[in-house]
Amino acid sequence: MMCLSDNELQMLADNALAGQDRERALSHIKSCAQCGEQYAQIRSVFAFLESEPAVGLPAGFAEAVAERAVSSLGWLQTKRVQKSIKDIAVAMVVAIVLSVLLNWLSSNSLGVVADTLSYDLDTVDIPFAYAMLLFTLTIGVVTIDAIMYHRFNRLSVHGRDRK
Amino acid sequence: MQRTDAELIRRSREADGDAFAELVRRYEKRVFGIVYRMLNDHTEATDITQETFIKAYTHLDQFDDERPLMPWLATIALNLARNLLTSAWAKRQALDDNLSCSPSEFTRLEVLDEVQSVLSHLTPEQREVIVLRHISDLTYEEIAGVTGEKISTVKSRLFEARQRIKLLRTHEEAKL
Repeated sequence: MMCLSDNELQMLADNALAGQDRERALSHIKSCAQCGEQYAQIRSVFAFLESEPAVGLPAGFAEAVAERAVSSLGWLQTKRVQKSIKDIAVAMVVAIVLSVLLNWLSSNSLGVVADTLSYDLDTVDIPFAYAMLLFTLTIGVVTIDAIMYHRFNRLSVHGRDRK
Repeated sequence: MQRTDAELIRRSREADGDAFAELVRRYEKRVFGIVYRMLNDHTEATDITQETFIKAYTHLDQFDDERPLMPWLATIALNLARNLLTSAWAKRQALDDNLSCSPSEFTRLEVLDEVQSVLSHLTPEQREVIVLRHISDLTYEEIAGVTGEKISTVKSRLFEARQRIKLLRTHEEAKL
């Protein structure tokens, strides 16, 4: 086999030769002193370039960056809060559908129940009141959930809440 | 069991600070290496490394977590380093009418270690490919993606840069 070019030797050192080409190149540098020396020189350039700088990052860098990163997002931008906003939107739609459905039911069959219980359906819109109660409860739960989650994560950056 | 990058990215997207800190720990050395070798300024390199991770965090939604993270981080780091060099060069030029180098050739002089000293003899394009290959451990294809060049261009730049480094080191050794 002919001697390897500098380009081939660099590709070999870069692990950019594959299969038979790689095998051939490796067996050649074992048997050819000149190519073996060239290859060793290239490996030495690689090792030199890959040596670590004398300076580095301060201790605790990762934790400090993560804390800054998490707090750099407004709480409204976090995925969890965005999910909660979607939940609220769904709750609103469900409440409206329920309200319409119950209103329709009340005008058809709940009148009988109201009469039995002596409710005056003209002054109290019972289904609508139930729907609003449900909606308010949903918003409350989702909001508390979002706030607690956000607080939990902010604390976790300082490692105060994780065992 | 060690969590995968994809898992840590998913958790980071949900504002999990611990997961993101773990990601930073995995890549901080390589990101700092790129920036430090490009800027040759410890303080600036630390700041840019921090900025790189914060920028990555705020754009995590746009990242495809099936792909390797390092080329993406390298792209952000390299762009921030280039911007900093350009603005530092502009400031310097305002003070010095005789400044002859281009923004990308401009480096602030800190104490040079041996590698830094050798890298300063390369063109900015050569320095970039060397740093991306040897500090970030990117493949030819990934380097081409980061720099926006063809794979053949990346290969030839790497080749020329290494030949030059080999020569420079031989000269240095001959001096000793």
